[in-house]
Amino acid sequence: MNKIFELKNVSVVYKSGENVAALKDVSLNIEEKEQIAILGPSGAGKSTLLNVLSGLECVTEGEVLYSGTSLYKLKERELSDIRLKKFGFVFQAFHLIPNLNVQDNILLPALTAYGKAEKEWFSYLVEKLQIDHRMNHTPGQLSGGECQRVAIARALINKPEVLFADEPSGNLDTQNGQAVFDLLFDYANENGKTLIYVTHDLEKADLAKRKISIKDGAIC
Amino acid sequence: MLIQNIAKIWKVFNSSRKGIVCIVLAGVIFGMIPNITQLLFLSNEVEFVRESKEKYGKYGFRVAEPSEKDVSILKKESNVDEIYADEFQLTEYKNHYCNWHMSEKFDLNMLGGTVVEGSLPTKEGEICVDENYFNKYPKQKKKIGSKILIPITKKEEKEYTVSGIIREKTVFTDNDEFIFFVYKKNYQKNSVYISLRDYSEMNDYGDKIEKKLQGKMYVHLDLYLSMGYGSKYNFFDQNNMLYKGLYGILLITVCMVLYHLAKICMYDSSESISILRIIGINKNILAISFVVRFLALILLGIFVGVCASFAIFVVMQYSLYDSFAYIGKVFEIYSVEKLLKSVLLCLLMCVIVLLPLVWKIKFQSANELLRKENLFFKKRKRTNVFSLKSRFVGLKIAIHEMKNEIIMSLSGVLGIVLGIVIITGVFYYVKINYDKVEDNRNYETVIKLFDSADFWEDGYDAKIEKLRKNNYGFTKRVKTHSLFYNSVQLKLQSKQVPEQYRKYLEQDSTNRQMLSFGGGIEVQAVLLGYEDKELNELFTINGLEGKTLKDGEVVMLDHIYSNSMNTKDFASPFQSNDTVKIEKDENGEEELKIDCKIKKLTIYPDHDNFIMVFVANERTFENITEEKLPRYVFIDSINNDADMEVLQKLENDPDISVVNLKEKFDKMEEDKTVLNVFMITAFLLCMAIAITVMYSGYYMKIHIRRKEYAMLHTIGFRKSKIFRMVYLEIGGAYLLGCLISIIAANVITKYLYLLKYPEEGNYLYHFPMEVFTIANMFSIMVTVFVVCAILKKASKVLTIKMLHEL
Ligand SMILES: Nc1ncnc2c1ncn2[C@@H]1O[C@H](COP(=O)(O)OP(=O)(O)OP(=O)(O)O)[C@@H](O)[C@H]1O
Ligand SMILES: [Mg+2]
Repeated sequence: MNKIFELKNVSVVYKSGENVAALKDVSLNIEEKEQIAILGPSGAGKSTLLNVLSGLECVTEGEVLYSGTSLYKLKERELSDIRLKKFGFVFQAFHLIPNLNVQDNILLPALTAYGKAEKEWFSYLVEKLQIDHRMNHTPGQLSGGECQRVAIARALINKPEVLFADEPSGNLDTQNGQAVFDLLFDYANENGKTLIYVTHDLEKADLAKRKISIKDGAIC
Repeated sequence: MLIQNIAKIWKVFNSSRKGIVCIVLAGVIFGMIPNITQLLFLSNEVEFVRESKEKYGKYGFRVAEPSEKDVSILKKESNVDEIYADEFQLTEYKNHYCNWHMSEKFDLNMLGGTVVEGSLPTKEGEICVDENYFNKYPKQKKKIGSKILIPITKKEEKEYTVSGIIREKTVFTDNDEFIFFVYKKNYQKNSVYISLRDYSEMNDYGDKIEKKLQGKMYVHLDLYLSMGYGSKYNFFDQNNMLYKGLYGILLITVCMVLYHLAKICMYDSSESISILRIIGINKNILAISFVVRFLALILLGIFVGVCASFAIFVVMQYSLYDSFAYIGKVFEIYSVEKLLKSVLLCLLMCVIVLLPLVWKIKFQSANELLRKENLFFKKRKRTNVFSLKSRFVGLKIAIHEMKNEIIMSLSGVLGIVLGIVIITGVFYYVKINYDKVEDNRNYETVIKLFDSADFWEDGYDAKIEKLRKNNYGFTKRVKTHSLFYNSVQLKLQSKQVPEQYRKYLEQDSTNRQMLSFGGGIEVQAVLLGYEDKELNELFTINGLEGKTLKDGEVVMLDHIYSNSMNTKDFASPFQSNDTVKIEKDENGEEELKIDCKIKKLTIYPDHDNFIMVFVANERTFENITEEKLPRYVFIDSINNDADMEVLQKLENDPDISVVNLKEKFDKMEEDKTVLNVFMITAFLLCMAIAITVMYSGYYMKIHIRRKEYAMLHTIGFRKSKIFRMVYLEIGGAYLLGCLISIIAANVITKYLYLLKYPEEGNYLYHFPMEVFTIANMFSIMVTVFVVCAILKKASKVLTIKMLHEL
C-alpha cells in the first residue's frame, strides 16, 4: 500500500509567553484508505496533530509528507488547493460562515473549487444528515448538533481524499452520533478514502482499524 | 458587593490592552482635534492683527480736533488700548498729499513706518522725510544732515535739516502720499490716535464711538484695508467662516473615527461580556459598568487630548515668538463653550454607538450572547447567495456582506467620503491661495516712459524715439522689451456673449439692460503692441514657432485677464478667425481679425479687474491708437556696471520713472511666514485626520471580518483570493465614496472659493476636477498603503491560530 502521510520527527511548540510543546518528536506513517482514530486525554495534542496533518499548523521541527511531497514546503496557493480539493475537515468548533445560510455554507467549497456542485451528492448529504429542512437558516440559528452536521456536509461536498474530523459526535446524542459515524465510514469505505478522526468515545474508536493514542504530545 | 462586582467586571474587560488603547485614543483625537483647530485659528487671527499693526502702525482711528471730554471718553472705552496725540496737518502739493506729524516725541509703533536711515528729529528745524518723497523728487539731495526745501503749501516752502529717512508701508501699490515728521516744541495736540484691543468689528465700533465724540473720526485706511474691510468679507469674517466650516467637518470626521474605533472595541469585548453574563453577573450592572468604563476611558482620552492640544499650542507659540506674550491674546478670544460642546457631542456619540450593545446585553439571553455573531449579525432567514452552479464566489460573498452590514458599509463609505473631501479641500485651499497669478515677475525692472506730467511737451516724443533707437542707452547685453499699451472700446453683440462672461457683465446695471434688450454693448479691452521680435518670442512660448502676424490682425489671450487672481478658466468670448469691432477715435470703427488664441503672454498688462487682452504688431497698434511710441520698457536683468549706470541715469531723469519689479513682488510676499505656520499646521492636522478616518474605516472592516477570512482560509480559500475579496469590498466602497464625494467636494470648494472671492467667485467658480483627481490619487495611495499594511499583518495570522484566538 502507498503511504499517504509520513510524519518525520514532528514537534509543535506554541510560543506565547510560556512555551507549550503540543507535539513532541512525533513520527508516524499513514497508509492510503486507512481509517484511524486518535485518542487521548484533553490537551494531549490531538487537535494539533490533526491540524498538522491537514496543513493548518506549521510545524516547529520535522517534516510532514503528503503523497511524498512536503506539505509545508508547498506554496500557499498549492497548499490551499490541496485543502480545498483533497482534504475535508470537520472542526471541533465548526467554523461556519455566520452570514451565509446552511446551503451556502455547504456549497461554498464546491463552488470555489469547481464553480459547480453535484446535485445528487448534495441532496444525498443533506438528507442523510437530516438538515434538509434547515437550509435557509444561518449557523447562529442552529443548535450545536445541527451546526456539526452542516460542518460534516461541508467537509464532504468535494469528495475529499482524506477526511479529518475533530470529535465529530461531540455535540450529538448517541443515536445521531451513530448516524454521523455511519456516514463517515460509509463514505470512506464506498469511495476508498482515508478517514482520520479524534474521539473520546472508546466505542467509536473501536470502529477504526487503527488507533493512535497520544499523551502529552507524544504517541504511545 | 456591588463595587466588588464592578471591579471584577473591569478586570475582565481590562485584560484586552488593545481595546483600552483604542478607546483612549478615540478620546484623545476627540479632545485634541477640535481644540487645536480653534487655537490655531485664533492664533492665526492674533498673528494677523499683530502683523498688520506692525506693518502699518497700531492705531485704528484718528480723532481730529478732540475736546478734553473726548479724550476722557476715549480713555474710559474698554476696547481702546492705547492713546497717542500729536499735531497733525494735511497739505497738498502737486497731486501729492503730505502728512505732517509734529511733536517732541513720536510713537512709530502707533503711527507706522520704519526709519531706514538716520533718526527721528530731536531738535527744532529737523525733519524726518518719507523715502517716497526722494523717489518722486530725485533732484532733492537724499542725505542725512543736508538742508532741503520742502513745500508746505502750494506757495510756501520751508527749509529743514534732514535727520532721517522714513519708509512707510501701505496697501496701495502706487503710493502718492508723503509723510513728514517735524520736531516742534509746544505742539498742539490736535489729533488723537487710538489703537483697539479688538479689531474684529472695526466698522461698527467706529460708528458707535463717533456718535459719542464731538471731534471727527478718521479711519486708518492702510490698517482698515489690509484687514479686508471694505470688501464683502473682512479678514475676521473669512477666518471665522473658514474655521466654522473646518470645525464642522472635523467634528463629523472625528465622530466617524470614534464610531469605527468604538465598533472595534465592542467587537473585541463582546465575548467577555457574554461570558460574564453566563457566570451569572447581573445584566444591569454589566451594562452600566461597561458603559461607565467606556465613557471614563473616553473622558480620560479627551482630557489627555485637550492637555496635549494646549501643550502643542504653547510650544508652537514659544518657538515662533520666543515668548509667551501672545498666548494671553489668544485666550482673550478663546471660547470654552466650543470645547465643552465638542466634548458633549463626543459623549452623545458614544452613547449612540453603545446603545445597541446595551440593548443586547439587556434583552438577549446569555447563551445567545455567547454566539458572538449574534451581537453583530442580525438573526433572520437568509436566502441563498449561491445556486448549485455559481462562479465568482468571493465576489458574491463580498456583495452579500456589504448588503447585510449596510450601516457598517455606509459608515466605511462615509469615512472615505470625508477623507476625500477634506483632502480635496486642503489641496484646493492651497491652490487658490498660493497659486501664482500670471504677471511680469520674471522681469527685473520696468521703465515707464510716459509717467511724468510733462510728456506732451515738444520734443519729448523725439527724445523717446532717440532713446528707443539706441536700446535706451543700454549695451547689447541688456535685452529690452518695449510695450505699446492702450485701452480700447470693443463692440459686442449680445448673442456673441457667452454665459460666464455675460454673468460678469451683468453685474453692471446698464450692461444688464443692454444685454437683456438684445442690443449691442461696449466693453473695455486692452490692446498691446509688440515689436516684431517680441511677437516671435510670444509665438515661441506658445508653441507656434515661425508664425507671423499680418497687419490688421490680432492675437487674443484665451482667457479674461486680471493680475489679482488666477483667471485661466475664464474663457475669452471670441474664437480664432472672428472679427472684432474696435472703436477708433470719435468717428471711426476698425475691424480686426483674430488670427489665433494663445495661452500665455510675454508681457502682461497691469490690470486688476477683468479684461480682454489683444496683441497687435506695431503698425496695427499705431493705426488704431495713433500712438507711435511704447509706454513701457521691460528689462530682464542687468549684470554689469556700465548698464547699471545707464539705469541710474534714467532713474534720475525726472520725466521717466523706473520701478524695480523684483522688489515690488518680493515685498508682496514677505512677512507671511508665521501666518503660514499656523495654516500649514492646520492643514497637516486635517490631512492626518482624513487619513485616520479612512484608516479606521478599513481597519474596522477587516478586523470584524477577520474570523470569517480565517475560516475561508481553513477550508481552502487561497490567501490571494481572500485578499482579492478584501480589495473588492474596499474598492467598491471607495468607488461609491468617490462618487458621493464629488457632490460634497463641490460644496466645499465652492465655499472656499466664495470666501476668497466673494463677488467674482459667483461666476468664476467651476468644479476643480484636476484638484479632485489629485486628491483622489492621494487618497487611493493612502488606501492602498493602509490596506496592504493591515493585510500584511492579517496574512501572518490568517491561519488556524486566528481561529484559536477568537
Ligand atoms: N495557540 C496556542 N497557543 C498556546 N498553546 C496552545 C495553542 N493551541 C493549543 N495549545 C496547547 O497545546 C496543547 C494541545 O492542544 P490541543 O488542542 O491539540 O489538545 P486536544 O488534545 O485537542 O484537547 P481536547 O481534547 O480538549 O480538544 C494544549 O495544552 C493547549 O493548551
Ligand atoms: Mg481538540
